Amino acid sequence: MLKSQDLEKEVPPRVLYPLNPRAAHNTTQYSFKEKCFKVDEQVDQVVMHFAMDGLILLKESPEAMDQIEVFEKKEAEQNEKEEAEAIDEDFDPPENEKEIPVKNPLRNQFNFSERAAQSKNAILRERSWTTEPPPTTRNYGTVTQWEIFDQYMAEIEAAKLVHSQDKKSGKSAYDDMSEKKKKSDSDPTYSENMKLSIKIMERMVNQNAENEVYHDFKYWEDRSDEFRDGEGTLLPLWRFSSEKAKKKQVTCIKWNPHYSDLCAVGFGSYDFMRQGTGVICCYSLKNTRFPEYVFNTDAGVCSLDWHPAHPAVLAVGLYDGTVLVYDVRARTKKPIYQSTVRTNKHTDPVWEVRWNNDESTGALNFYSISSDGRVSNWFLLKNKLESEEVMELKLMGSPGTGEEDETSLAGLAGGLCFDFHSHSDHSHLFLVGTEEGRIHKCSKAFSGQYLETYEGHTMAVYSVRWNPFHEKIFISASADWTVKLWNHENRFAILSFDLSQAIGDVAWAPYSSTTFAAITSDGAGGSTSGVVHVYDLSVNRNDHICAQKVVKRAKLTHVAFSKSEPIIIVGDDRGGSHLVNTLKLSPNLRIDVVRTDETDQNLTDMDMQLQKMEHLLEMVTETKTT
Amino acid sequence: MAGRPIPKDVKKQCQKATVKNTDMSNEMKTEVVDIIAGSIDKFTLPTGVNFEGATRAIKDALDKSYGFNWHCAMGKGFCFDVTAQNGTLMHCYYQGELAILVYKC
Repeated sequence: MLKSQDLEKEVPPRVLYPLNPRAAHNTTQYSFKEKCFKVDEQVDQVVMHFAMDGLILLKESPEAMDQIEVFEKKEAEQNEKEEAEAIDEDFDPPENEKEIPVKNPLRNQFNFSERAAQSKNAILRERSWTTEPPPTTRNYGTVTQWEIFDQYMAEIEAAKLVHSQDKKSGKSAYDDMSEKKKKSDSDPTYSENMKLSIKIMERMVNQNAENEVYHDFKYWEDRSDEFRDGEGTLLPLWRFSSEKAKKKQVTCIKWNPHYSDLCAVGFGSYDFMRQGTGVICCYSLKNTRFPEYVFNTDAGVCSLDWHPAHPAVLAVGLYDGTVLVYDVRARTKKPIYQSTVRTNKHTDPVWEVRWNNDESTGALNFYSISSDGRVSNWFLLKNKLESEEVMELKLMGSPGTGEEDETSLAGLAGGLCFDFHSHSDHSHLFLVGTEEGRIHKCSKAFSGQYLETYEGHTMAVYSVRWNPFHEKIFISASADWTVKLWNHENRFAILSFDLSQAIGDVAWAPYSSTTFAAITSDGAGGSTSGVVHVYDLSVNRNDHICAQKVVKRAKLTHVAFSKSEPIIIVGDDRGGSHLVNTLKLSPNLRIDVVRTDETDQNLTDMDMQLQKMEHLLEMVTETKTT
Repeated sequence: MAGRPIPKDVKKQCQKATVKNTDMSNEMKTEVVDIIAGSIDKFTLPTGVNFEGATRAIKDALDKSYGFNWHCAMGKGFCFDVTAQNGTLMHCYYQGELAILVYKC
C-alpha cells in the first residue's frame, strides 16, 4: 500500500531496458577515417523472432486511398462496357419476374444464326429397255488381181455388145436417157384425198371462226317473244357474199330438196340496160365463206330449180331466154344441156323454171315460163333438150269488152311466174302470173284456154304460190304494193295486204299453213332498206307479226324458207357486199300447230293446219258478209 | 502374178470404178462409189495411192453421211469375211487394180 506521501514522492521513472543474452557486449568496427578500431557500447538488444509482410493497409493511408481509386475506376469502366453490350429485353415484359432473361447470355463472336432448309427429293425411277440391233449378214470374198481384171473385162465386153446392138437397131443414146428418166410421181398435193382434206379443214376453220353464229343458229331462241304478244323477230346469222357476184343482183334462191344445208343462188340483173353475165353460186351452211359450186353463165340468171329426186341436177333460166341444166357434181363447169334457137328457146327472159316430178315419160322434164308469153316443157333426151309448148298466154282484154282480135295484134302476155299444184288430185293445175296483173289458172292437159282468171292486181304479179297445206288457197305478190290471198274457186281475192312498197317476193312457210313472208324495200325518207314482213294469219289477220329491216340501202329481191331449219334466206340487189342474208326465225314466227287440252288428239298435224286455214277463211267470209 | 502384160488401151478402160458386189439401194450405191472414187483421187500421188489417207477419208465421209460405224478396207489382194448390217456393204474395184470394201456395223 502506497501512502499519499509516497505518491507524491518522485519516483524515479522506471524504464525497462532489454537485455539480450546472446547479443554481444560491444561491437567493434574499424573506421577507415580514423584508421583504428572503434568500440561501440551501444548494442542493439532487440531480437527478431518472427517477421511477416502483411497486405493490410490502413484505410486512411495514402496507398490505400490510391488503391481504392484504382478499383473504382476499373469498376466504372466495366459497367460502361456492359451497358454497351446489353441484350434487348423482351417486348412483353414477362409476368413472372423469374422469367426475365438473364442479361449477358452466351453470345458468339460473329453474331450469326443458323438457318436450314431441305429441298424435296425427287423420286427416282429406273427405266430401261433394249432395242434390237439392226439385221446383219455375213459377207465374204476374196480380192485378187485376176479377179479384178476379170471383172473389168466382163464389163467391157458387155458394153461392146450393147454398143453393137444399138448400132444395129439404130437407137440413139437419147432414147435410153429418156426411158431411164423416172416417171414423175403424181404430186400428192393435187390428189383427190388432199382436196377432201382441205375441204374439211376449210369447213372446220370457218366453223370455228363463226362458232357463236352456229350456236345461235342451232340453239338460240328469243325469249322476249313470250312478252311480245304474237310478234316475232328475225335474227341475222350469216351473210353470203362472193367476189364473182359483185355488182349483180340476186335473182333467185332455192334450197336443195335433199341436202338441207345447200342452197343455190342465182345472180343476174333486173335492169334492162345493165345486162352482164350471170353467176350461180351454191352455198352450204357448213362453209359460209365461200360457195361450194360456182358456175358462170353468158347472160344473167333469172331462175333456178333443183330436181326433187336427183339432188345434183339444177335447171337454170337466163335473161336471154336460154335454159340450162347443170349437174353440180360434174368437174367441168359447163351445163349438161343447153337450149338454143333451134330448140325453140324463149326469146325473152325465163322468169321461172320448175321441174316436173312426174316422170311418166321416162325422161326428166321441166317447165319454164317467160315474158314472151310461152310456157314450155323441156325434155332431157340423150344429147339434146327438146321443148314442147304447154301453152301460150293469150292476152285477155278486160272482161266485158271481149275483143278477140286484139290478142293477135298485141301478141302474148308476158308470164312472170308460175306454180304447180303439189297435191296429186290437182297436179295438172298450175297458176301463171302475168305482167298485166292477171293470174290465170291453167291445166297441163288443156293447152288452149285458161280455166280461170283472177283479177285483182293492177300491176305485174311477181310471185304466185300455192299453199303447201290447203289445196285451195294461193297467194300472190305484185308490184302494186299488195299481197293477195285467193281461193282458187273464187274469182276475187279473199284477203289483201297493203305493204306500201313494191314487193319482190312472197313465200309460204313450210311448217304452217297460215304463215308467209314477203319482202320489200321500205322507202322511208328516201333511203331504201330491205324489210322482211312476216305474216301469221292465225295470229293477226290484218297486219304483220314481224317487219324487220334486214339490209340497209338495198332492195330485197327474193326470200326462201328452209324446209328443215328455222331459217330464211334473203337475197338483195346489192351484189358484192350483201348479197344473201340468212336469218333465224324467232319462236313466235314459227308456230305451226297449237295443241291445247281441248284439241282432239287424233288429229294429225296436217289436219290441224287445214283447220287453222278453214277457221281463218270462215272468219274472213264472215267479216265480208257482215 | 502377171502373165502377159495388160495392153495399155485396156488399162485405160479399166480406170473407172466398178461395183463387184453390193446390197445397197441404187442411190446409195452411186453416192458411195462417188465418195470412194473422190477420196482415192484426192490421195493419189504420182508414186501410188496413199492407202492410209484414202481409207481414212472414205471412212470419215461415210460416217458423216450415213452414220457410225463404217469400216473400209483397201488393197490389191486380200480376203475377207465380215458381218455387216443389211444394205450397207459395198465391194468395188477402181483403177484396174484396187479393191475397196466398205461396210457398216
